[in-house]
Amino acid sequence: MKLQLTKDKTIDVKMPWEKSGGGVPGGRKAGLSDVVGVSLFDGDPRGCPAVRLVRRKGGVQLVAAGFVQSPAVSLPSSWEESKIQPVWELPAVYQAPQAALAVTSQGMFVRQTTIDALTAAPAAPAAAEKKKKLGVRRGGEEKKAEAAKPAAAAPQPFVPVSRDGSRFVTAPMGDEAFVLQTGLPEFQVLWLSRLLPEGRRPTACSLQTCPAALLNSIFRQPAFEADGGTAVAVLVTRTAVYFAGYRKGDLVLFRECPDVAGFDVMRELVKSGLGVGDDIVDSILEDTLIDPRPALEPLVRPVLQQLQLSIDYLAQRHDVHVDKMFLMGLPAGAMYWNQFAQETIGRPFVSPGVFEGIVPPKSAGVVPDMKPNETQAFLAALGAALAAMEVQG
Amino acid sequence: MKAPNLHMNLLREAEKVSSSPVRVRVMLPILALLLCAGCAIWWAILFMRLMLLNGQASQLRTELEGRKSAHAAILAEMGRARDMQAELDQLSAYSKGRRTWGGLLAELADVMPMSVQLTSLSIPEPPAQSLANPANPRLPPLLGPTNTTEAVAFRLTGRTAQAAPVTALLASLEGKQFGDWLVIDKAGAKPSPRVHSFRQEATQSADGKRLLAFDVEFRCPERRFEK
Repeated sequence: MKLQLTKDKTIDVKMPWEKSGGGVPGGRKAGLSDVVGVSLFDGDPRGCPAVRLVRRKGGVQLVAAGFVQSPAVSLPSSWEESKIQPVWELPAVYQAPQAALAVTSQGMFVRQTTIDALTAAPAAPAAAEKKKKLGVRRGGEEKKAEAAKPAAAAPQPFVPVSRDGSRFVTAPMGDEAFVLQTGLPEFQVLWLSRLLPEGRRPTACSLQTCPAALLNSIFRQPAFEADGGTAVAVLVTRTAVYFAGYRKGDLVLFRECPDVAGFDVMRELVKSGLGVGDDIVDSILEDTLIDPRPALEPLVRPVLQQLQLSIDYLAQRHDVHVDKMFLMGLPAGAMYWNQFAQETIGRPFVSPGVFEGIVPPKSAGVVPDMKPNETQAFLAALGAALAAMEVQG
Repeated sequence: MKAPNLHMNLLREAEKVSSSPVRVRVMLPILALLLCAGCAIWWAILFMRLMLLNGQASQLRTELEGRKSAHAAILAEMGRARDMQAELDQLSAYSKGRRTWGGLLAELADVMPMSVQLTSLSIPEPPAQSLANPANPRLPPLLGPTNTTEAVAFRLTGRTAQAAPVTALLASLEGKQFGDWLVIDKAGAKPSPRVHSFRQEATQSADGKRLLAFDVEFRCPERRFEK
């Protein structure tokens, strides 16, 4: 047993069976064998997508998938709201020992950044702003304040850090100059950590932001593995579109498509452009009877232009020439996205099923009968569960 | 391709809780308390037994202290009793070893011929006894005789004018009436009676006759100093 004084004046107790390194890659603990992934607050009216996975000898097996009833209250947006702590329980089939939560929140952030940006002093501008308001701003004081403020320590990879009211975690990227940073407001993290009660299955062992969970959903795809893990993926959610570039399995690019919303806006565009109701929007996007391309074009064209920029960035910065472009998370309209991609970039998307690469369940009926594109709703839940199964940070 | 490693978990280890209904953080203190309580009870039982035994020991010590004087008196009485018993035993042994000669003298008077004059009747001193240790003769000699028997003899001397009365006297002494006092063993290594001398005396009788002096010793039954 080893006792170590940490930077935050607490004592870190390491038992002999724990490997050294804590959250450092290479010294991390093994993953879980039975876990349920749940996507929370993604706005799906059917409920929260949930996926239960079990590690078997032949790989990862799907035990159950479906929509579970959302928590009774919504995600708190302030410290005051977070004082109301509901208790949430999952149906019996999803009661694995551990749960991995993929959360969609307006306060979340996922960004590709640099270590220098993370270690820069964040409070100095705030202090200067305060003095400006009081009207006591003097020349040179700002610089003095900035100089006096010590730089924040560089966060260790995969170790949660609380700073300025947020909880964030970083992960190294394929390029050493960059790290991926994701986080949530601190009060939301605390609220979510208590959402699943102690002593009942499941309890939260992993809390990830939805985009971070999506990044893991591609790793088990046979088409991704076949190309040696070098590809670019377009991850579509209800509210945003993300680009992810991989080089031999390492993430080298992550960015949110600017000025473009997710497929909720795409639906609105189709509804308003074609004058149809909610119930047939997805049918129109999947059928060829009515051409929704004029309605889709204002959304898809900018995405593809940004995608082209990202592909060029990968080629020039990282010398990564991608052959495959994955389109994931889109519940309907992939066919038209392919047509636009063919026209703009010159090649179509690969849109694999969400559960490809996962051993199907032994018994029928545990997974609802859905079309392959409808299973895209489980992408974040699956990614969260897979991440928790691979490593437990 | 490297194994994917993008588990960006925002939860700290301290925020992860167990799904087991038996919570380790609850059960561990309870088990520790139960263990401590068990140890305390065990220790209390041992302590109580120790206290009880200590009390019994001190009580026994007090009783022994109270009975020491009585014990000393008893030991002294027992010593006295032993001494007295030894004296009694010794007296009893002496009593058993007592030899009465009155009957012999009375019977002797009856068979004594008229022509025989006894000059002495004596019981010779017993021979010196061996002081060698009977268990091991090589050991130092004992301080005194330890055997409980003593050889006894009866010696008579007298005068007569003829040999026949002496012969008649000896024959009379071999009679049954003297069996309690005299041993008749003529063929043994130490014969009894044993004639020490039978000779003519230098002195004459008042009437001028020549006299014969005789000295005869009889072995008697051993004296036995036994209880």
